[in-house]
This record gives sequence, structure tokens and C-alpha cells, in this order.
Amino acid sequence: MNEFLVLNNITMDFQVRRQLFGSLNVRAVDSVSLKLKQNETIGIVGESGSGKTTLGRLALRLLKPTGGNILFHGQNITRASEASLKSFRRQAQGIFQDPFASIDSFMNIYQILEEPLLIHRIGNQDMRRKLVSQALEEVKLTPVDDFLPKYTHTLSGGQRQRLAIGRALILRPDFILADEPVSMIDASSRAEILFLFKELQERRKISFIYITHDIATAHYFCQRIAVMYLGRIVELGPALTLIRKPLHPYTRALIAAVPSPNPSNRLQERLIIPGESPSPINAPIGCRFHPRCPDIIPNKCNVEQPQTITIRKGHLTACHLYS
Amino acid sequence: MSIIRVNDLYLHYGTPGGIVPAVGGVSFTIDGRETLGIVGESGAGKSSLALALMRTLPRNVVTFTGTVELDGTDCLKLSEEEYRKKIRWQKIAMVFQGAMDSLNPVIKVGKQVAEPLLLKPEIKSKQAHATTLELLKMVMLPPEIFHRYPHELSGGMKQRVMIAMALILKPKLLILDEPTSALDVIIQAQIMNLLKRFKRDLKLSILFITHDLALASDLCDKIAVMYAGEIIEMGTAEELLINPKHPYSQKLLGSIPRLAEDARPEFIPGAPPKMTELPPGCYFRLRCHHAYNRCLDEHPPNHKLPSGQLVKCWLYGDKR
Repeated sequence: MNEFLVLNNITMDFQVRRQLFGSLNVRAVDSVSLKLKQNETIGIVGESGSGKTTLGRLALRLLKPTGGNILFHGQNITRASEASLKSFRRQAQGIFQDPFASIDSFMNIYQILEEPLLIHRIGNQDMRRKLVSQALEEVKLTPVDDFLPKYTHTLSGGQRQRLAIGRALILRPDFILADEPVSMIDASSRAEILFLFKELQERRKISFIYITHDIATAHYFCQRIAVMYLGRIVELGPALTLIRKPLHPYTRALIAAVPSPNPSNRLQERLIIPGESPSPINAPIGCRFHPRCPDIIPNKCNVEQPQTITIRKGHLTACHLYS
Repeated sequence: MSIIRVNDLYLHYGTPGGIVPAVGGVSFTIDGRETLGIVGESGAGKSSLALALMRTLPRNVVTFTGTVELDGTDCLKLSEEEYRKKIRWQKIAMVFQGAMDSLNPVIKVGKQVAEPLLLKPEIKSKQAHATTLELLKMVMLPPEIFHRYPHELSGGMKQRVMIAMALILKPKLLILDEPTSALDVIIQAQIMNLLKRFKRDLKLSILFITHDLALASDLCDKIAVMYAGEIIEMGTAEELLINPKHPYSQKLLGSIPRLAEDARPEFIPGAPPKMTELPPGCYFRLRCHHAYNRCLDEHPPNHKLPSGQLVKCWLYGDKR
């Protein structure tokens, strides 16, 4: 079995207080199944409110799902206690969106990178120093000796994010969840971070879940892409096929919204779907996308929830247009 | 006819780390109904340039020189009082970066949009109300929004409100500082469509600030690329996007991930120079593959190419 992370029919409900008494269930992730293979990168693409970040937090078991189960290396970790998750915590690491918030600014770079080693009681001081230097080299924060005593306020956004990657790598994980890792970084350095991920994946055989709102970067970095809308996966397929032959109208809308640097763009309006993604608190019935869908089938899409069907090998969608 | 003519604008901040030349000798003009895009990495001086035009600068400014000519008057020579009464918001208006989070949470949206009109004694409140409703309609918001509070709106709606606010006094020049950077891609495309419509129907001139060259192509007739406080290349959208001349512009264009092609996006190695310690010679030379000894010690001037493009680089003009 090379499927080493399996999310099986995962559902996540949050309770939202509405009035003084009584609360409301909000389903952020609704019956999502996803299998991540060894050495694979899956991109999860969607707008804010699509549940992509919640799904990521579930995959790292930072949240306990309210339904379904999570298997890691064949082991069920759905309800495992923190104590029994210690080896999982070492193997699975997260990199988050904001490198200004995810790094303690009162620690210098050496302390930041050494901390995970101390927590997991790895090596003696010499060994730890060596591992820290190695990690810095791996993320190209060199010369290493210059960086070690620095505090993070002296680093640029791109350098900080590389430090966060170094911190994730130092425990030699085999799974990394990267949640919008480049969205706060200048466009000119984004590709550098993505190159680094790709290189690490090839050398270290790490599997990635890459969460993003930008389907263009996912296209470059991921083997497979899952498109989420209001808590559900609406399309899943090999990255290139999904971009070239998108099935779901929402995927098509996402692709159409990506600007390309073409000077004739300014002369015409872009064809774009209307409206905004509604809050999951009042998700539409039937297909959740139907109020914005340009291809709606009356009396079907607004009534019946579409089933996920396989269109071609490995390419699935949940849309009535194909049933 | 140019609406605004900026000439040799310098803006330096005094900081504990030294003098920061945020804007170092920038010149450009924007014609009526024209959009100029200012593109650059963070710290390039894009927002400082916009703040200088609005004259809403922080207190630590040590140098602020040059001319900003608007309809023949030099805005920088006006007293603060005159500038506030005649220019700011009436002739030059701005949508600030991240401003949608600075709407007043306890005042209804409509009143916030209408406020500048209500302060004018010659305008009756009924008239202000009507103008505001019309403007809300133009930014594609339903009239009920008038009586809503900011927390009831989504990010995209708030950004539309900010645009309506900037337009309420019918300015000639609208400055937009990263107006879509916090929004989802689909909402971003909707806002860009809206701006395109304004440009056409209201005959607006726009200064559009962004770090994303692809997004600039959605609106801009001319594009200026900024690096370390200077415009290093300026030309029409066609010139900049199809045939950029400065090595930095070329790399910036190469860093955009594309959906249609398989080409791998490139990146620009290294980081922009520290603004307090700008090196002699060309500011980009440490990241440039074409740098030669001249780039090391002589700061490149603007070369005007036969095509009309301006480029600040020793690869062009008289070579030595």
C-alpha cells in the first residue's frame, strides 16, 4: 500500500452561537474523501470559506473530525490521544500562510530551528547544531553562520517562509501540509519557494498537501488537484487534465479568473461568474454551486445533491451535467 | 491632455537606521482616461509614491521635493489647507491598501459614503442620499447596503464601498493601491471588470498600484516598473508585457505562473537592496545576470528607446 494518508468520508461541524440560547451547526467540511500517495502532491484549491484550511487542519489532526476517519500509514488516528500522536507529530509538519505570525520573533534563528529537536529529544548539543546548520543550508539561508544568531525581524517575507520550511524539515517528516505558503510573499519570490518544495520532494520523498486559492501555482507544483466549494470536493483529477479539460463549471470559473499578462486584457471585460460564495451557515440546497452556476439545469441542480462520478481515469466530478 | 504631471519627485524618510529614499526622482504623466500601472516588489516605493500624491505622509519625512502638476497648479506648493479644500478627494482620490478594514464599524455604510457630500453646505441631504444610492448602484451593490453596517458585508462588498467612497466627489484621478490583494480570485476579477467599466464610462484617469504584472495588464494602458524607489522602466502595456527591456522587468514577467503554457515560472534570486544602504551603481546589479563593470559604479540614467520606452539600464544607450 503506498496510500499513506487516507481521509475517509471526513466531516467537520463547528458550533456557532447564534442567540443567547441555542447554537447552530456549521458544516465546514462535508463528506470529503482523499487519498494521498507516497511522494505525491495534492493541491486543494478553493475560495475563502470553501473549507480547504479546515481540511488541512484535519489532515494534520489539529482538529478531530466529527465524522469519518483518518488513516496515516494504515493506522487510524481519527481519535488518537495527543500522547499516542507523538510519532505522527514528528512525521507530519505544517507550513502556514503568514510567516510573520507563525514564527516567534523573540527567538533567534538557531533557537527556532532547535526547538522541535528539543521537544522530540533528538541528539546532543553538537548533533543539534549540525542538524540546524543542515536545515538552513537546505532552505538556502546561507552563509549559515551569519543567519544562526539573527532575529527574524531582519528577514524578508521570502526568507521567513524559508525559515518556516526549515523548521518543518528538521524532524525529517514524510508529510508536509503547506497552507497558502506563498500568498503573502512577493510574486518575484513565489517560484523560488515552490522550486524549493519540488526539490525537497524529489530528494526527500516527502508527500505534500498544498492548499491555495491560486490554481496557477497549484498547476505548477501538484500532481493532482482537488477543487473545493463550500465544504465539498467538486472536482478531483490529474493537475494537467483538470486545467486543460476542466469538468465542473466552478473549476472553469476559477481558471477564467486567473489573469495572464496579456496587454489586450484591458480592452475587454472578463467573463466571470456573478456573486460570492455564500457562508456555509446557509449553504444552498441541491448543488451548492447552483446559484452562481452558468450551466444550471432547472429543477435538478437546485433540488438534488449531485453524486461524485468518475468521468475518465482518476478524474472525478460532482456535477449534474455529467450524470 | 495630461491630467497629472509628476516631475522629479523625491521622498525620503528619516529612520533610526538612516535615511530611506523611498521615492528617488520619479517622473510620469497620466493623460485623461488613461491608466498608469505602478508595478514592483514590496518596499519598492509604490505606496509611498501614492501617499506623496495624496499628501498624507507620515511625520518622519525629511525630504519631499519635485512638482506634482494638476490642471496647471503645483499641488506641492499649495498650503495644507488649500490642498485639503481643493485637491484631496475632490480631484485626487485614493483607495488605500487594506482600507476595507478601516470602515467605521458603528456608522451605517451609506452615511460613510455620503459623508463628504454632507459636509458641503450647498448640497442638501436628500440630494446626497440620491447621489450615494446612484453610486452604490454603479459599484453593483444593492440599495439596501445603504442601511447596513460594515460587519454585515463581505470583503468584496466592502472593497466596492471603498471605491464608491473614493468616487463620491467625482475626482479626476483615482489612485488604487493593491485594491484586490485581500480578495478571492473570482471577486478580484469582478472588481477588475468594474474598474474597466468606470474607466470607460466615467472617463477616469487611474494610477493602479500592484505587485502583480498580470493584474496590471487587466487595466493599464501604460506600465511603470519600480525598483528601490525608482522607475526603472516605463512604456505602453504592449511594450512592457510583450517586449520588456530592463532585466528586472523581464524577470518579473517570467515569475508569473501561467495556466496556458507549461513554462516553469522563474524567480529573481536574492532580495532588493536595503534602502538605508543603497549600493553605488545600479541598484539591481547584484541580482542581474547582465551586470558588467559599468553597472558597478555608475548609476544608470533614463534612456529613451526609439520605441518610446524609458529604461534605466546600461545595456541600452551609449555602451562603453
